[in-house]
Amino acid sequence: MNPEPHQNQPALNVDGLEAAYQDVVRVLHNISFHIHEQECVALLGSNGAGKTTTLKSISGLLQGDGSVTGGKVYLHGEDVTGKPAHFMVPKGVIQVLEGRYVFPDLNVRDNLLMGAYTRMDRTHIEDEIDRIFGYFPQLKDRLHTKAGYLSGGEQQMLVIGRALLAKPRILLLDEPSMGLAPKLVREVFEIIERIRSEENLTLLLVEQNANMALRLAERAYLMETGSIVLEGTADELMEDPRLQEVYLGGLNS
Amino acid sequence: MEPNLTDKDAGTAAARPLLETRLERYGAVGLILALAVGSMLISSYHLSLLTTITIFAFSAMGLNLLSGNAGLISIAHAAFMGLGAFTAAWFAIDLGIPILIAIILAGIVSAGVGLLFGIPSLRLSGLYLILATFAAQIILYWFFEQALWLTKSPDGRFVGIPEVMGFEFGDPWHYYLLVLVFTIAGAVVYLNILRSGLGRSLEVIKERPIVSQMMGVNLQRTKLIAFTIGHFYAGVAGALYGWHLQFVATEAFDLMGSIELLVMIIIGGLGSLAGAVLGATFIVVVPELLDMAGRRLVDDMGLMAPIRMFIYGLLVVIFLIYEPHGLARTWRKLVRYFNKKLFKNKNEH
Repeated sequence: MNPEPHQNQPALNVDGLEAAYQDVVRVLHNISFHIHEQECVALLGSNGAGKTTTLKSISGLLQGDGSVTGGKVYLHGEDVTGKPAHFMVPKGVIQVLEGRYVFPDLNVRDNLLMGAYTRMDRTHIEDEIDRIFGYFPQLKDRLHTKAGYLSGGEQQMLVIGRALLAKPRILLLDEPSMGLAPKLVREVFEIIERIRSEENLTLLLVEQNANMALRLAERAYLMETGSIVLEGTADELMEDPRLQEVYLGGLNS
Repeated sequence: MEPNLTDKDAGTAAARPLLETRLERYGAVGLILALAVGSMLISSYHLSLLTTITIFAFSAMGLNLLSGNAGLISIAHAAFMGLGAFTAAWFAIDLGIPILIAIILAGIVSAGVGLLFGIPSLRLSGLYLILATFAAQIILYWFFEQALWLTKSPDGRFVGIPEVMGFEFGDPWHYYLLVLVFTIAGAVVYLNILRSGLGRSLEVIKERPIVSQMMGVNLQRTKLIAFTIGHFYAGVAGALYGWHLQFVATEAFDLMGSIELLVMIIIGGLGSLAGAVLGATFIVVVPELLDMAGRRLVDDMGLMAPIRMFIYGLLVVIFLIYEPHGLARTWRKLVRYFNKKLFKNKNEH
């Protein structure tokens, strides 16, 4: 870990972010939030609230069909607004996309190695793969299996493991629970919790499963139609009736 | 290539040898020797066929890198071969540049133009990218017919017998050896690219462009590198082809030529060296065999000519039904089989 110039400076600071697809469809309006070093923050909200777009504008994956049209993103105080993914990855900002996108034709090991694509320090990679198998022992048994043949849960573990090999300082996790059985969801979250404490990770978690997310996160922001409508500690939000309103119906309805 | 890119083999299956099994290693040496010596012994007709196959294998490697590995399907590869053939002739004959340098320069020109056409195609994929390469094919072909300072006549130009440092390649066998050297060098480079980090990034941008970016792969740069290298191969192959026939015929580089190159790598096998070589062999040899059969069976070629293309097409379709992964897979199965038989228990590494 690099020493921080200012102890109180947030690891990630998003200030008034605006984003649009194809320069026409505005999807984010004045999004502001911050994450401190080693904090876990959850972004909650229903479908189409703009959670994934927020992640993509930070990690640089928006380029192509959308763009950041306003606001700033600061990483440890450095302005990284609108920078592409291949710039952000070496900076330690790694996003795990929703939907468990493994490289189906590569085996588990090669998938993991792909995570180390931008790494220049290669001597410890074998050890790190072993450490990742410590979190996901199931994967070790399937080292040479094509990732396309893994089960959904294993694929979710693989994409998280792959992201860890990129040496993240801030991990952006998009819907790790999507499409998994409740028991697996708990398992995945337990592993994330473990990884978080052992790797001293800063975590930005996007989830529809608010219950699970709030158990893991210290603070959370609630999004609706491209804006942040509610923020607070996980405990506060857990009690807040407005959270349920957002999931069950609109705030203003 | 770019050292900082090829050096990144962290993303590859750690330091794989160039040729993996003993059979492949012995086979490669044996094949090269057999080609070098055997080509001396065969008739000039067969030698000409062999030279054509070797040149097209070289060209197909470039297309396989672009379309097979990186998934950027192009139907303009023949036009880029044409560009290489005409520019090499222009450099060598009109400007008096030594032929070997002219061939490399032709590759560079073709790579540069390929890069230029690649830039607007960056955001396109699938059918739209094919349309963009179709445009490149049409534009280049039109250019060959118009730019008479380069092509001398709309039909093409004579290039004569190649001469390197006072040595005339009057003997087709000598010229074949030159082509073989180029092709072996091209094959070594191609295999090296495949096992480098660049090769791996080409594979993953085809499968999962977004996730590749998430892993830090620079998608646009990787695509542009594929365009550049792929078309470098096309340019060099075109230059070699021109001096092989001693006439650069514009017609040889039309859309049909580009599609045949694409069929080569599909039949041969996408994304592998064996695919390029076997595909080129298939596409060059099968029509010749059909012609030969036609001459034997029916003397009247007027009857055979129309059904020749029909049989040819039918063979291609049957092939794709029974071996959709191409001849390269048939080949790999054979290699694995013989490798087990020949080197039982000895193949430890």
